[in-house]
Amino acid sequence: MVTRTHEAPEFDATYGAIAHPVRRRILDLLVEDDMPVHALAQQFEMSRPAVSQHLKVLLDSGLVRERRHGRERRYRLAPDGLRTVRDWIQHYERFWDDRFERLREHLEQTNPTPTTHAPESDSQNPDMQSQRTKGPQP
Amino acid sequence: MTTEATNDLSTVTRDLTYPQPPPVVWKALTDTNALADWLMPNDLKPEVGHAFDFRGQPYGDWDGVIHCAVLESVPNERLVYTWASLGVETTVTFELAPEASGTRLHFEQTGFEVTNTRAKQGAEYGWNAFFEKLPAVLATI
Repeated sequence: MVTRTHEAPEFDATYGAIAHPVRRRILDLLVEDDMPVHALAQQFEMSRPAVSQHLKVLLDSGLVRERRHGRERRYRLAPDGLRTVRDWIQHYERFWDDRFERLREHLEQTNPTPTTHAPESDSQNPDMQSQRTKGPQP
Repeated sequence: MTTEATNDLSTVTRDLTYPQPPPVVWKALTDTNALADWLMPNDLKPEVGHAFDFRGQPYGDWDGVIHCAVLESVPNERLVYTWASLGVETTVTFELAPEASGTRLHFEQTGFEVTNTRAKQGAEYGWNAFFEKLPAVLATI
């Protein structure tokens, strides 16, 4: 359940890359537009080599790609790299959807006749309950 | 760090309704055997500070163990525990509210931030701010 994406090395690279505030800021900037390193460096109170180091981590993780523009190298966001993050969360979503359905089954088996405080007509009808609960998740 | 943002990718949220009343749902959340029946084998006790494990099926490099500790326990209302596995520590929250037709269950799993050292360097910066942007970015993939 929680594991498949964790086993992928790119998962570590992605999470490592977005774990640093400077690198997240770089990604934020690159969402807007492609940029050369000197333009990026202007946004930070750190040396250009330091910014380049962060860029290298992002490049290695595949979250950022480099493109030569004449003599200039520009950097752009490669959002596919964030897929592992999304897949990881979706993993949990599927896991919990499955478990909450099992919880419903467990409750139905252990308490087949709900003794609710103020029973309403539809709450007594198990067919309607199960219809309400199957189908797409909220 | 706020955990209130529910539409961002750092939180899994579910709102469900069950026809049984809160004490019945509470039992399913807190009784070891009941919990094992729908979630995983465990040694949970709904006592604040109690450390327990879930033991799932090992898979690949994963030993199947999820380490947990109870943070909050208000019978029939609220159960919160940490959920740590593979270096990622999240928090799960179950909130129960009575409804005319049973129980409303609000569930959240928050904190999908890797708790390795590198991640901690960045912890002071709002993860949520970043994750809030993610859906828009991912929509462009």
